[in-house]
Amino acid sequence: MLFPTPRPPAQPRRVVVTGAGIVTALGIGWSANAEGFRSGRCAIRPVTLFDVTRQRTGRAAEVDLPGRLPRSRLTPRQESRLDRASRMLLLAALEAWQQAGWTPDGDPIPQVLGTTSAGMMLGEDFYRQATAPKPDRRQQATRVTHYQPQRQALDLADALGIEGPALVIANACASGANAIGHGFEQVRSGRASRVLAGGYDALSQLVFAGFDALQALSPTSCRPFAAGRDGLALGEGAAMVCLESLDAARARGAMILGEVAGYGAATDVHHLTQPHPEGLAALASMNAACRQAGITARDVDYLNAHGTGTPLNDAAEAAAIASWAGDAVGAVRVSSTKASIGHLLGAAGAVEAVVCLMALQGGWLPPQWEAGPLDPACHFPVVQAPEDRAVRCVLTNSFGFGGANASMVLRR
Amino acid sequence: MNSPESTRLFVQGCGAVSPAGWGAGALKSAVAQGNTLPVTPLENPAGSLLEVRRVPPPPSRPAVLAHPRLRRSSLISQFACAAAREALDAAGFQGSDRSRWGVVCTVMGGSVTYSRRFYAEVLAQPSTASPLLFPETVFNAPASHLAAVFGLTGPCDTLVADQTGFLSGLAVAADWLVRGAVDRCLVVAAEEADWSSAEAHRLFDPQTPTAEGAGALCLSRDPSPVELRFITDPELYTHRRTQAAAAERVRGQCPAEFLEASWLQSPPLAEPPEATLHGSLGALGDGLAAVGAWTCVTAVRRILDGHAARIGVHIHGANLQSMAAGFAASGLSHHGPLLAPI
Repeated sequence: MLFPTPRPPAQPRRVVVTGAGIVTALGIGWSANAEGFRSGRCAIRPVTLFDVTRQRTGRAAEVDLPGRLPRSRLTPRQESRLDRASRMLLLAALEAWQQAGWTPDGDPIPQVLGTTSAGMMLGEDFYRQATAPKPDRRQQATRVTHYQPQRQALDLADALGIEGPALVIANACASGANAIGHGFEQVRSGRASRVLAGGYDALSQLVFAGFDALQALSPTSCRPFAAGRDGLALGEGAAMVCLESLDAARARGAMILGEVAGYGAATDVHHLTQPHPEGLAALASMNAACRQAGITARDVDYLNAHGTGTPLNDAAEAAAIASWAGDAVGAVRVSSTKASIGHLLGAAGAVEAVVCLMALQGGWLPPQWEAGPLDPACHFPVVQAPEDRAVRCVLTNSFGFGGANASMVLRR
Repeated sequence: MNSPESTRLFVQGCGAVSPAGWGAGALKSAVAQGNTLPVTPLENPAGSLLEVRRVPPPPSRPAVLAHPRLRRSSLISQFACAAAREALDAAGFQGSDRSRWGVVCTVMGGSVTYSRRFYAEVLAQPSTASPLLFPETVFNAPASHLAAVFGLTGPCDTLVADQTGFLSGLAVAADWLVRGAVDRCLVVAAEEADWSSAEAHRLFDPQTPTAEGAGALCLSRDPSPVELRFITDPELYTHRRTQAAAAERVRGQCPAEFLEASWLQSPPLAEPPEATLHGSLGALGDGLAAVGAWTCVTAVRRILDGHAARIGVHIHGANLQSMAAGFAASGLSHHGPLLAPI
């Protein structure tokens, strides 16, 4: 029963990540991505998925998908119908599932997914067929069902053999972080013992053209926080995490990748696509996450910024970081991994949470090359070269269209 | 620590925009009368006519639609804001701490008209595709406008689901309220009709016209005459389970006190319980996510009008899950109007 709910535990449960899966243009899986993020490799390249010859720019971070998926409980027919976004989601989820060592033991395992466009490429196919001079309606029903994120949630449940509520959050570019945040709150409050959460999004022509129409895509290179930044690069991918209580993870001897210690969300009502210049909602979400985690800026060894590379976002985020950190701002090391893999929209928050887990586990900070001279609004050091150091506590920011702001604290 | 008493949740206000008109009263009347509402033909590019149930023009333009944020917004955002305005007014929204309000907005099709128009422009000439259209195509545009129009700066989530999404939204709101993350929460579902969504819908249900509109409920812990009593776990339509089996499992979760209660279902099931008030919502058409909201608003209004002491709502979604919720007369009074003037 979703409501009323059982009485919550006297003390909120500590929530840990025991499995993580990741797919980006840097590669498939934890190892390939950890190597890429640690070195700051840039995976942004010319787009091949659709025609970009009439756009202002033609580069993005495309994923090289494998021909076959790892074995799952999907039937061959189900697997044959998966679109690009679903394949990335399943790759990430299967990796996380295996790493956690979970099994479908009959207890419900809620899933919380974040996305902005689900199977958008199928939606585009549907439209092109519906408006064709001689429409071919044979695959239209499949396109309609597989375009919708409900189908991807059901495919994930079928692939893993799990039961339980499936929630799809579409808060634009904060969706992935919101999904993990919701999962975190469910475990923390005792409403669920385990939650599978994360985000996914594939590149599509409509979304690429949309950001291009807004002149938000960089015609040069994505350089978050640089004084001369001129826009973002889009990317695609997925990341999923397995969340459970610290006690449960210890009891079964699971490897703990990190603890989700705090989560905050706030809404910026300034404008549909532009943040408040002072980043007020960003500040509110950062403060809320840190308050829940019981930490201050001095405890944060690394901040994975939303850092899209657009003039407005980075200025607002820099102002928010300065307000949040106060006197400690000069000690907070910051980078944006969007310089390497582009902006993954609904997947961004989840992917960046996994990058933070990698930093905690590996003891390194992900650099962003090519930042060049920084915006004077940045009073914090930007990590611009590979750097090994002990990382105990990180903060990750995700902000989106519509004013969706989310922050998360992760620690060892 | 929450006591059992503090986890009781109450409906503070409701609102609706539907093919029956602007307001929860128009919705309730249409459902009670069960009259079939008129359909509007929409032509697809192949020249076929698709029937949809559109929201009729309002008698006078609602004041909320004059807000600058809604100037270029799509119909879905305008429906959402109008339904929310009605619910918020009834909930005594003025004077409340707006940072302590949560917003949950649910959609199934979302902003289909602007998405279709924008993609048509992209295919024709992407370099001149409108930068004004694209932001309105994202799923959370209606929620963003809602939050901005009413100045609600707390958590704001958009859920994508089938017709059950509104019940999932109520569950998210309940979670926030019980945990104390917010003091009050606005839950909205909204849709708009377009030939593209009508064509997609016809592939699965050629008999039922698609419909458009929105519905909204405000929830809080403050006592009011109508109480949210339960929300079941959703039962997914996995490949191991038929939709009928999912519906049966949902029924199995419902509290005993609701077994003999009146029920509103959408769509009606083949073997409904004895006391089911099924069928009447069929007059509206398939409003996708809005169906869940209309059903809940109707249940609340029926309880307020004394037609029933408790009403169960069972939403049998098209392609995700089956889910139910229950509302009941609380026996408690209310601090405000609960029903907005109609």
